[in-house]
This record gives sequence, structure tokens and C-alpha cells, in this order.
Amino acid sequence: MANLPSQWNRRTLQAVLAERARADGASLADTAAAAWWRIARTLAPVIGELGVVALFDRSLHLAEIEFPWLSTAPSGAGIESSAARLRLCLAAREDADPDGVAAAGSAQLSIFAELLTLLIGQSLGERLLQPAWPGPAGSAAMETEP
Amino acid sequence: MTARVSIRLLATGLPGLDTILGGGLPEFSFSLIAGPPGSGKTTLAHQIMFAHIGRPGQRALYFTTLGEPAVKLLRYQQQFSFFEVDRVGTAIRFVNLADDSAAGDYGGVLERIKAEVAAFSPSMIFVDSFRSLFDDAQFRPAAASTLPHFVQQLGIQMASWQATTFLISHFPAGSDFTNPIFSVADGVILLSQDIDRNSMVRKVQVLKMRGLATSPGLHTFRITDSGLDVFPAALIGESVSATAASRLRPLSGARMSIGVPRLDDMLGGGLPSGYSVLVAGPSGSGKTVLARTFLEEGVRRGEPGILVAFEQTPSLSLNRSIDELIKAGKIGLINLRSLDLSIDEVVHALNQMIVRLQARRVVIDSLSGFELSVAPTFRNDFRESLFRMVTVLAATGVTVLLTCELEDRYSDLRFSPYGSAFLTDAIIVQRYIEVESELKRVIAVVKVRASDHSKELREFTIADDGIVIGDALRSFEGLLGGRPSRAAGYRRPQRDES
Repeated sequence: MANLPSQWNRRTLQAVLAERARADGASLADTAAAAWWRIARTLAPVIGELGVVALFDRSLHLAEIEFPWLSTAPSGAGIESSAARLRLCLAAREDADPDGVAAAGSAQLSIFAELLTLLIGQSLGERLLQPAWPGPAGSAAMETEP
Repeated sequence: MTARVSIRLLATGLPGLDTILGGGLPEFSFSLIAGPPGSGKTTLAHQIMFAHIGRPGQRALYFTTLGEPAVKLLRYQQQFSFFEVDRVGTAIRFVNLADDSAAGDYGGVLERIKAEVAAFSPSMIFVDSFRSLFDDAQFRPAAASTLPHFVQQLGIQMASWQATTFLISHFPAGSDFTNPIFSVADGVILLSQDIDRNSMVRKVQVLKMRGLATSPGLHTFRITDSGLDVFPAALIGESVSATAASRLRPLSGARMSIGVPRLDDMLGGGLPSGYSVLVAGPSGSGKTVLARTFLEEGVRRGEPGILVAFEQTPSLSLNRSIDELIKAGKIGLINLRSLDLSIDEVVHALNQMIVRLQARRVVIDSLSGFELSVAPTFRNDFRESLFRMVTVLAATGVTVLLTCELEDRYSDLRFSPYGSAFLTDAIIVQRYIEVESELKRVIAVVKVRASDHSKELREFTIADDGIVIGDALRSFEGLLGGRPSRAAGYRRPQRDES
């Protein structure tokens, strides 16, 4: 997809997640899951929890192509469950492959943003995601933990 | 002191709908937008919403339910030009109630709606789709019992929100209006689709709108990239006064030159301004030439004109002069090719152009093409619709020339296949006759209301520069029978046989 905002870029996102994890003294899995949870909570009032989780499942499925171990995420419904599922499978690999966890976490978010954009257009997609999108440590986004 | 409440009317953003509603939407009213799937309910709601937030300080809250997945709604509504993405989240908030209503807990749905309204303070609120809550309830006996309570509570809440509210609800065509929501609502706007053979015509009806004199009956509309375009039925006397076109006044007693000098004489000194004239004749007899001469003459005299054509390739039949005048903006062209038109749509387009160009002359070429272009569903009422159109156009003060294909019949004298001869103020008839094994054209003025006019049948020819009217064919009789003979007492001029 052309001209997506730079903060949606996977590498940028990966660096942001890693930096935030360091700053907060949190695990990468927790940081990535919290980032997803915040986005999901922001979108749910607009497109419904069911809609958000459906897109989450699809983004996870597409991320599995690159990170097959994401398929170990258990199935479940609801936003809380989606964040917990993501955290669970990321946490299981964190010690062995921290870079892979940051990459997989950012891949899922980035793919989710692309899917949403595909459906509702970049302009509206950006508007809806912007308030919740993970920014560098100290920025407003991601202050709330699940 | 008894000061009456004054109800402010909000423009819907659809001028045609405002006309039908009787001025606009009453502020703080609660309306139902109902219709079968695909009838344009959600689009209408969005169009009204974006028009509303175009005013400073206005906000709108759009609740979606199970009816239409919110992502799809955002995806497709964006295609319309009125959808301003940058207003979403600031002036407009979309809230999805699917999760609340899926649980079947209507108390929870109501609480959610109340909380969102309190948090956002919108001046316009939509719930789309309301019916899906009912449908859902049918399969949940427990939920069904709380539904009437929910409707009642919602009605009470809505009255206290100081917001103009809409429930969008699909009701299949032909459904009765027993649902209590129809009684509770201040306004009911019904959308429908009429399918007849291969054509589909969209119609809107304002079933009620408290406190307003709405235009009764069905009005047509079309959905384009810019949303709904409503064409109020050309109600005689009403829509006319509602249009700015009514500012145009006929030039009292003035006559308009038709552009053919001797024809002006036959008409008694030109066509009375503001009249409608029917030019009837067989194919190729020169109706279109006459019609376009009428427009060219208008341009020469500073009277702008409009040509309404119904042709696949108008440029082929336009002569160069008319083509240039159209390109130069001196003549307006409305070329309508679709096969699902309503007459009201044409009248609407015409009215707008009449005002824009300050037009004094209108040509409709031809009624036969017009009849083919209107949707089959309107053909039964074609004559009635023509009557309305001619009356409405006449009221705007323009002079209208209509052409009409009329097969020559030599056993009777007819002026129009629609029995529309009485509709117009003047009639010009063209016919073919055979004289000395040659087809010749004759022209006659059959009627000019309240005016003296020639009763002669005159021969005419079509030259490069237009119609040339000859003399009366006094030496023949039986011209209308198609095969004239020399009149009694006629003496053939002697020829030099040497």
C-alpha cells in the first residue's frame, strides 16, 4: 500500500515498542498487548467490538505467515481476550527471541492498520487510529495499561 | 402572556426534500426514515447529518446497530461527495451498539445511548437501524418483553435531548403502519423503489411531519455521487411559487418572434410571450428546424433559451449554429438519455436552468423522445404529467415550444398522439402533401389562444438558412387529404409549348 503514515511502518513501530518497554520497565509482550488493547478500545465504539476482533483475528492470521509461532495464540472473543491472547503467545517467546517478539507485535499492529485502511480508506483510518497509535515513550498514547 | 412556541426549521441539505417537507425539518423533532433495503435510507441520513454539521457548532451522533456493519457503512458512505472524513471524530461521532444489542439487553442499550449523548452533546442523533433491534427481539423472547419499554423510554429520552433525532428502519414495501413507532414519531419519511420491467424509479414520501404542510404523494429522487437528489412533483401552483423561477414574469401582451418572418405574421404578429406552442408533424417535416430557429432568434434578441433533447448523440442533429450557441453558453442544453426519468426530474432540471440563465424560451424536442425516456411506470400518466409540466413552465413566464411526432393521417386531422393539443396555447401543424408527384410541406397555425391568426395552409421549404414560408396554396383543395386537386375554377397557366 502506498504512502502509509511513517508511524505505521513496522520498523518504526518496532523501535517505538522496544523503547517504551525499556522506559516502562515492562516486557515487550506486555507493551505490544497494551498497544493493541488501546487501539481496540478506541475503535470498538465506532465499528463495534465484534468488528474489531474480527479484524484482529485476520491481522494475526496474516502475521503468522512471517511469524508462524503466532498461531499458538488461543482463540477467544472480545477485546480483553484478544489482548490477553496476544500477550500470551508473545510472552512465551520473549526470552528466546526478543527481537522476534517486537517484530511480530509491530507486524500485527501494522497489518491491522493496513486492513482497516483497506476497508475505510486511509484518511478515515488515520483519523480513527491516530489518538491511540503508540508513540515514543512519554507521549500521550499508551498511558493506560489493560 | 401567551407567546407561541416558534419552531425553527433546519435545512436538510436536500433542497427538494425541504420543499416536500414544507420548509425543512422541525428542530428537535423525532423522525423515522423507513423503506426497504437499498432504498437509500442510510445515505439520506448521512446527507442530512453532514449538511447539519456544516453549520457552526453543530455535532451529530450516529449509532449503528446490527443492521449494517459499521466498517461497511463507513466504507461505502465515504464514496459520496458530502462525506467529509475530517469531520469524523470531531463534529461527528459514530457509535456502534452491536455489542450492547447482541446481548439482548435493551436497558443496557438505552443506558449506552444516554451516556454517549450526555458525553458528546450532539444536536442531531441517528439510530441506524432501529428495525434490527426489533428483528433481533423476535428471536429472544426475554428481550422482546422489554422492547416496548425500550421504545417508550427512548421516545421520552429523545424529547429531552434538545436534539433532532432520526430512527432509520427498514420496512419492506407494502408493510402496514401498525408499529407504534409510526404514531410516536413526529415525522415519517418513506423511501421506496418502483421496479417496472428494466427500469427502477426511486420515490420518497413524507407520510407525516408534525406542524408542517408537507407536499402529499410520491416524489421521485435519484442517487448520484453527491447523494440523493429529490425532485418534488410539479404540483401546480405550489412548487412554482417555491422556485425562484416564479420571479420571472411574462412580458404582458408582448409577442416573441419565432424567427421565421412569415410564420410570425401567420401567428398574428409572433407568439404571445409566456405561451406554450405545440409543433406537430411527421418525421422530417422540419419541426426540429423550426424549434431551433426559435432558440436562435431568442439569442439574437437577448432572450436566452434552453433546449431539452432526448437523443443519444445530440451533436449529430444539432446544426452548427445551435451547437456553437450551446458551447458559448447562450443556449442551455439538457440532454436526457436515461430510460428511467420522471417528468419531475426534467422539470426540476429545467427550473434550475431557467433561473440560472434567466431563460425566456424553452424547447422540448421532442415529446416522443420524452415519452421514451420516462420510466415505464410514468407512461400511463404521461398526459397528466405533461399537463403539469406545461402549466408549471408557463407559470415561470417562459415561452415553451414542444415538438411532437405525428404520423400523417389523411382521413382525420390530429395534432398530437397524447391528446395534448388542449394543453398548449398555440398549435402549429406541418404536413406532407403530394402535388404533381412531388412531396411538399405545408404549414398551418391551428390555434393561438385569445389571438387572431392566419388559417391558411402555406407551402414551406427548408433552405440552408432555415424555413422559408411560401404562399397559401389557394389553387388547391383537399390538401389535408394528402392528395390535393386543383380548385374549381382554377385555370392552369398557359405554357409555351413550342
